[in-house]
Amino acid sequence: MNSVDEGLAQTNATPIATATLTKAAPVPLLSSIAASMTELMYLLRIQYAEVRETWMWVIGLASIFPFTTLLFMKFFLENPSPEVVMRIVSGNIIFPIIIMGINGLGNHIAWSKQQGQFTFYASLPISKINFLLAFMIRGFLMSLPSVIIMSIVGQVVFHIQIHLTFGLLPMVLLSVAAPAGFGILIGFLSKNPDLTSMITNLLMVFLNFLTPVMIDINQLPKALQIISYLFPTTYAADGLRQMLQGTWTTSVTLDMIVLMLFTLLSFWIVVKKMDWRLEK
Amino acid sequence: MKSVYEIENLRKVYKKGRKLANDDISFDVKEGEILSVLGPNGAGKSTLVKQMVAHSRPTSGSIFLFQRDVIQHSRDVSRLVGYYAQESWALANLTVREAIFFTARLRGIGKSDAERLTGWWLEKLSLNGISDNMMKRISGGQRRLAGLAAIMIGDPPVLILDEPTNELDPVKRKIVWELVREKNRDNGTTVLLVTHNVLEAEQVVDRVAIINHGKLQVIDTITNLKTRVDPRLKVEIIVQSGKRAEAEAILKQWGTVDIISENRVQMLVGRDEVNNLVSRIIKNLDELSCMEYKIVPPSLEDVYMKLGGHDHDELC
Repeated sequence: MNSVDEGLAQTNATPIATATLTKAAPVPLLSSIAASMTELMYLLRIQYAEVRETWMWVIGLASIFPFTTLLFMKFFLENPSPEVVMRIVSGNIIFPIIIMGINGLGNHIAWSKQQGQFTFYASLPISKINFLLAFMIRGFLMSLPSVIIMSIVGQVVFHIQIHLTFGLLPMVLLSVAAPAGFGILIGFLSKNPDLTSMITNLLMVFLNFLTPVMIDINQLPKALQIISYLFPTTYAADGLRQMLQGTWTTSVTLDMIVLMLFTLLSFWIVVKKMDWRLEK
Repeated sequence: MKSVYEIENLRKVYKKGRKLANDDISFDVKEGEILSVLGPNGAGKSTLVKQMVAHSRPTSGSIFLFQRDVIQHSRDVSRLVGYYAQESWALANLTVREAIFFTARLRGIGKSDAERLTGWWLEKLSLNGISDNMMKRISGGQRRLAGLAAIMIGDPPVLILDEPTNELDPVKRKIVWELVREKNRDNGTTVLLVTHNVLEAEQVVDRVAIINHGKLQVIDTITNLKTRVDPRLKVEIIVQSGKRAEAEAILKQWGTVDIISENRVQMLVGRDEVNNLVSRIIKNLDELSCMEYKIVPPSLEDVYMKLGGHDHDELC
């Protein structure tokens, strides 16, 4: 028996064509978690496959914009105060998060929808949460290298001392996760990739220059100050700046809580309010 | 025979009520049958199929899969139905092996079974030589075969294949049809087939549903449809070049003659008259300058042209 016949014999061993939709027997919790993890792993591997040939370019390009801004600030500002320097460095760390987390992810999801990729996913018995988590982790992993690169470049260019504390880890995680959730939301809600591209490009410029990412919130007009509170990057920039200085204040804790709420809220909206299997 | 799908009074309206894609469609898909949905472009076939796999919500009416509403149990639908829609760019950056194996794992198949089945499908579809090539770097036909393997792996009890042989060469089309037949014969898989390839579909399907202008025009077995459309047989006669007019003059004495081309004519006769006509042709082969004649039964294409085209009203 050749391997085709062998395979056929084995696949025919238990014909399932007469399956009916009966209520499934309860699955043990551990098995259910293991199955869910396996599902997430393969969804992530599909996401990874999409960038495995280009990830160096993507990360490099995501770093060039903040790197250029950082150099511009270095040449433009004469003797900036340590506080201003720290704000510039932390702001330029947020920059790649906005590029990769919001722009990159939003556009990626919008294009995936346009190309009919969701038809493939919707045809599989996968969970919506894992489907979204795979996108979020992709956004996170694509942002992280640029964040690290900009932290190092910031130190080299402005000779500041970044304090590597344990608290920096959850801060960075949340700073990347919340904008990634925001990007997912834009990608899912937007009607087409062109619109998504316009929205995310506009947001990138707005968030970087008209919200307190690189400047103090008090330097902004009152209206922009109020609008700034609607975006996760405001809290990410504030918390990250303080954590890089090695101080964990109540304000940092508040930033973290708000970032967590942003992450959960964006996730909740997509999970609960959108039936991803159904086309709109 | 049990019904796998039960569709009742299905209506789908797009563009805020401006486009009626499906209009009051009702039919069943029986367990273990191969049902083909035929219809011209824009007839509403793909809209119907999308609703059947719970990718689109009906405006009104209902669709039940194994007695359960598909919208309320959309995850069960994805577990029980292998749906092939088009080339999936979600798999474009995976290798052929990965595309089949990952889909198997996402369908909940265990690792060792997924590996074994992936190997089986690669060999079955002669994809072994390109198994490590990325999907985006293989030909369109190979990509379609790999996509079909990905949706068929694990043998879901129902297959919905939307234009599975589009852009395939004759060899690969044959592979696909044999695969559909094999799964139906050996596993009892219920298959719903949307295709434009009427001639090839005729060799595979049990029943045919013809949709046009969003409405179900007719659904029946091929034999019944042929009888309903025109039970007469076609007798095709090919004559020597330049001799058609003389042949036509002789043939007209025995019935109505349709001119097909410069050297080819056709006569439609009832089954009880065919022997008589053929005998006459044989006796007059030289006078007719007949090079070849053949008796052709009505085809599914004839049925489709009649019922799916302009003049369906007269028969429905």
